[in-house]
Amino acid sequence: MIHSVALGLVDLPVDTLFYILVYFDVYDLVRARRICNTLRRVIDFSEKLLYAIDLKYYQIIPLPGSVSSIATRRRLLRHSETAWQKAEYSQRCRIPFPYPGAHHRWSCGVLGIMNPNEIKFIQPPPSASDHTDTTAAIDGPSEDHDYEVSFRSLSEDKVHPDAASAVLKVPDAQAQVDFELLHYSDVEGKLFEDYFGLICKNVRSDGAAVDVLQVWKWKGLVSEDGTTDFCLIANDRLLIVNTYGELMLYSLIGPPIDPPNAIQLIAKFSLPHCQASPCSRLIAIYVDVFPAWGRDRGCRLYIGQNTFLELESTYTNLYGIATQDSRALSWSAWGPEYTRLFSGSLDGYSNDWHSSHGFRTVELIGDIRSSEGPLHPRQLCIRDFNLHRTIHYKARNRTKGYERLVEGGPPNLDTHNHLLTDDLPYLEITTQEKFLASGIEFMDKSGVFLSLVNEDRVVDSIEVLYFR
Amino acid sequence: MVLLVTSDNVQFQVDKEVVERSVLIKNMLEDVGESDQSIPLANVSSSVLKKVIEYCEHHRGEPLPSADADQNQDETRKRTTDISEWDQKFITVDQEMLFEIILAANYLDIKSLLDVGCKTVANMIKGKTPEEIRRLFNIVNDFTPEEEAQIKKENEWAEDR
Repeated sequence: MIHSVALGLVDLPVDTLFYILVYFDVYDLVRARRICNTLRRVIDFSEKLLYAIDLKYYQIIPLPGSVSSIATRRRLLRHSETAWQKAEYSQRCRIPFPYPGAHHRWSCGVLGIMNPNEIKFIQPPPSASDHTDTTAAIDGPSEDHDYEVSFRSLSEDKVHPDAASAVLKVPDAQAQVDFELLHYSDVEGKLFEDYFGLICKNVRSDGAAVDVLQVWKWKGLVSEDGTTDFCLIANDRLLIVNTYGELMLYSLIGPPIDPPNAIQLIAKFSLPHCQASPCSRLIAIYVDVFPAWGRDRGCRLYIGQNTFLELESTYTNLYGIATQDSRALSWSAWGPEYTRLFSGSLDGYSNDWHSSHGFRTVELIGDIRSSEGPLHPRQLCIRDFNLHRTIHYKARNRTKGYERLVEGGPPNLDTHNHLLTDDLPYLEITTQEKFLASGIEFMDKSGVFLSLVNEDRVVDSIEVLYFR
Repeated sequence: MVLLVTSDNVQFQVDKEVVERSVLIKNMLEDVGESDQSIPLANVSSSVLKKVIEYCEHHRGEPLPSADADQNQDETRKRTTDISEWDQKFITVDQEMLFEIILAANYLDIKSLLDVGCKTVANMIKGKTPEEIRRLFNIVNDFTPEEEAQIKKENEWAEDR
């Protein structure tokens, strides 16, 4: 009998090997590249597998429904990443105001500029290739309900096909709350995958000003009602910042509780003694700290969004599932290790000197005003808090990069002796070019939106820098 | 009944309904029409075909997966590696037979069997270190020390997971 050489894994045809690799999670895939040349080549020649690795490395959750091919999406992602890492924008676009200082507001990528008798809507070229198609329009109080929200598809200009109902009519959630006095700047809506959250600040209830937060599963139906500001950090986790300097982590799909559509509180974390103003972003929290080094300034605190998912079990192991009366995990037990604090500029403008998207932040460096004389244009500093990137940066022995690694900072104490050490590492780079900007409107996946000022120090246009 | 002939010249009489789980054979039968001619399977040995037929017999009558649905699965990469109890038992074979079954399923174009085989290999590899995987499948480490150091650097961010 003739024995043929036994058939082994690497003898399988390439398409079959690829078919096996498709079942791997990204960490197994990355490990598989270290087994042998055959497997490494199968992975390195597959745009699909490489794109999956890239998404994990950059910690990006792609939006569903993109029509472009995986190869194209991967190329765009890598282009954009390189542009950010080099601090080199590829395009700029200026949106002049009809008159300096015009009131303007952004909503879901659309800019509304107020003229005396009309609102002009402008949609700058989308900076992200697969930007979201959904926008939420909020309408004020009317006779039989307090306000209404409608979800529209931008591309089709009609009610979004996935929306559970054309218009969400929101009845008075708490009978005493008076929405009549709602000012437009006190209303903010946020869309996050299946959820839509609406916060109404300073509404009157029994003569006192309160903040009301309501969250709906907009593709399904009503979910919850609560207080203060929020961000959704995972599809089923909601983080709420309250004015007492606490972060509350809620589950949106928890065990059935009473009342049935309330959300489940899981854990509480305290911030350094501060007045956290309700202005949170994905990983950024704006806080007023009173540092030992001088006058109080607004500070911006960055926290990796996954931190709270990691700390959730730390909390529940210590205190069990939280209730409104439970204690919060103390700042010193988690804060210094997981956060990074930036103190505010002294230029007297509002807190828009920082902006963040995903794990990336931009900051205008320095003060725009000098004691006398003309305004100073400023450089933009781009920082990346993606831990995968800092690890990779160190592994390469700090070569071949444009950015600079910043590791744990020196400890600082605030006036209440809270340790403000910040150990969250990041990579940073500063633009060569300077911009006469009073602030950053916002940033997204591949763009920074700056408010430019004229000699009279009034915002007269918006400039978009595209990193792609 | 359809007559199949393996690479080692063994003949198998199989129900048309069973054998048509192979897209390759189904297409061949459609092209040829009604005929008593045997179908030669030059790439499949009798021991492997026996297993393949056992699988097709068991799954007789189940709907065939559409090519479209699979495309969508690929997109989201949310593929599960769960295998049903019967399939699990069926695929508990030595490594060489496992790879032979995968090759045959690929050649005969039996999507669900290919899935079972590939999931099994994926499950064997999951969570193991490169060295453990090399030992398990008898794979030679053919990297130069420089290459190995280079790949290790590239992979550093995903270690310890």
